Amino acid sequence: MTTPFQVDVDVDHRRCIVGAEPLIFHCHHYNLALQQALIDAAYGDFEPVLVGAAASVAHAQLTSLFAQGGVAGTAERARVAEELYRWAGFGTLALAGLGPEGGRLSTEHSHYALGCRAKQGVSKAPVCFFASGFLAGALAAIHGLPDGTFRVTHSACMACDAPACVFELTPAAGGYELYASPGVGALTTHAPRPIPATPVDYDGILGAVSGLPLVGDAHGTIDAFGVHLTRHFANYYNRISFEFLHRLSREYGEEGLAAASETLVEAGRVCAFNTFGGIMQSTEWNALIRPSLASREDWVHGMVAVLNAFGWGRWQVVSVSESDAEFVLHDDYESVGYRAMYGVSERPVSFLAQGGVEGLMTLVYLAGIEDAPTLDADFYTKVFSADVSYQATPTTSAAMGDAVTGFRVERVG
Amino acid sequence: MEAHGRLRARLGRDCAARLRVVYQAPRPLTVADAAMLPEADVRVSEFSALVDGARDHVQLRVGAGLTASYVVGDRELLVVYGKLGGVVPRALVEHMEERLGAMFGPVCWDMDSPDASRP
Repeated sequence: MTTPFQVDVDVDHRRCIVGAEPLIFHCHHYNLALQQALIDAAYGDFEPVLVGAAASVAHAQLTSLFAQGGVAGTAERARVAEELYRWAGFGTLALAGLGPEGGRLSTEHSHYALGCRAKQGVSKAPVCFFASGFLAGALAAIHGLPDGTFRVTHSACMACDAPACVFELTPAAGGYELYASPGVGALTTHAPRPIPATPVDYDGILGAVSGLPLVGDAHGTIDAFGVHLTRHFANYYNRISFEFLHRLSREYGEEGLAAASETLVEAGRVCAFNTFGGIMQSTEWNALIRPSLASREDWVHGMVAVLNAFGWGRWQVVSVSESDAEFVLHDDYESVGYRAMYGVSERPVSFLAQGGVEGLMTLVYLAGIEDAPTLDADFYTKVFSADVSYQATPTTSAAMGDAVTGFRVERVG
Repeated sequence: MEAHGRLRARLGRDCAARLRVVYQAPRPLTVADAAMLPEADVRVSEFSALVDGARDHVQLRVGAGLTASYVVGDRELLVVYGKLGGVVPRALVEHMEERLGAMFGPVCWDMDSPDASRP
C-alpha cells in the first residue's frame, strides 16, 4: 500500500524523514518505560510536557507534509494524518468527527494503552499522552491553526480497562507546554571508522532490514521481533527526555541531574533488553544474521548492523571483547536533537545510547541471549542486578561539540 | 518422551507477554509450507539474495491474532498468538494446530517448557 505522504531515507546519515521530522524505531517497552519513569520521577506534573511535545511534532510534521504535497482540503488532510498515525504504529484515529470547534474521538487501537496493559496490567490513570498531543497538534495543522489552539482531555483509556480510548478536544489554549520542533537538525559528514574483522555483512544487513515492511497494519500495529514497534518522533523523545533532565537539574542541582541521567540510561537498558533481545531471538535474526555469527563478538556486530536501520544515526563497533568495548555513534539522534533544541551541551546527553550499549553487552556476555532465555521482568532484574555488569562511560559527545559520540564499556565486578 | 519424527511443541511467552509456541516439524520447512494457512498474509524475505550465507525467511499473519514465522530449511515454526495487551485467541490456536496436525500429525507437547500448561 502506498502512503499519502513522502518517506525519505537518508542512508548516509542513517535517517528516516517524514515531513521534515526524523523518525526512529522504538518499541512499546521503551515507550512505556520512559513515559512512566518521567512521570514518576519528575518534579511536579509532567503530563503537559508529554502532551506538548507530541503536539509540537505532529503540528510541525503535518504542516510540512500538507505544504509539501499541496494538501489543502481538510478531509484530505485528515486522511493524511490518520494514515501517518497508523503507518507509524501508534494505533488508529478517525478524525472525521473533529472540526475547527474540536469534537470527540474514540479508538480501540492505541499503542500506549495496549502496551501498558501488556507490561503493567490495568493502570490507575490514562496513559495516552502522546495520542492526546498528536490529536491536538494534528487538528490544529489540519485547519491551518497554530499549535496550542486545542485543549485535549483524555477522558477514558483502555489502559484503565475502558472499552476504548476517548479524547475530547475544545478550542481553548493551555493545558500543555508549547514547543518549536527543530526538525532534522544539523548533520555531519560521517568519517566511518574501520570495522574490526567480523563476518557480519553490515551493508547487506542494513539493506535487508531497511527493506522489511515495518509499517502499521490495519490496527496501526507494527508487530515485529516479538515487540510492538513504533516509527516514533526523535524530537518527541528528545524533548521529553531533556525537559525532564533540565527540570530535575533546576530543582535539585547536581543530585537531580544525576538522578535524571540514571533514569534515562535505565530506560535505555530496558530498550536494549527487550528490543535488542527480541530481535536476537527472532526468526528474522536466525535467517539473516545468525548464519554468519562465529563468536559472541559477532553478535554485537550483528545487532549494531541492525541498529543502523533504526534511524538512530550511524552506530559503529570500534572494538569489542568480553572485557570491554568501544562504540562510536555518528549523528546520534540524542546529540543532534539536543543541539538543535538547546545548543551545545555542557555534558553528554546520549542516555538511550549509553543504556543501549550496556544492555547489548549484557545480553551477549551475561544473559546468554544465544540460548534464547525468556525476556521477562524477573530475568531483567536478575541480569541487571548481578554482581557482574557492564558500565558505559561517554568518551566523547557530539552534543558537547565533539565530532562523534563515543562510549567505552567495561565489565565490572 | 521420545518424539522423533513427530510435530513437537514448546510453550513460552514473548517479551510482550503473549503466548509464543515453538513447533518443531518432523522435516525442514519450505517456502511452499506457507500455504499451511491459506487465509494468512504471507511475506517471503529472500535474505539469501542480500547477504552471503543468509537464509530465506517466511512470515504468516492472520489479522492481529497470529504471527507465524520460520527460516526456510529449518524445522522450527515460531507462532505468537494474540495481540498486545489482549487475551489468547483460543480459536486461532486450535485452528493453527489443526492445520499443523493435518500436515505433520498430532502435536506432542514438551512438558519441560517454562509454561507446561496447554494454551
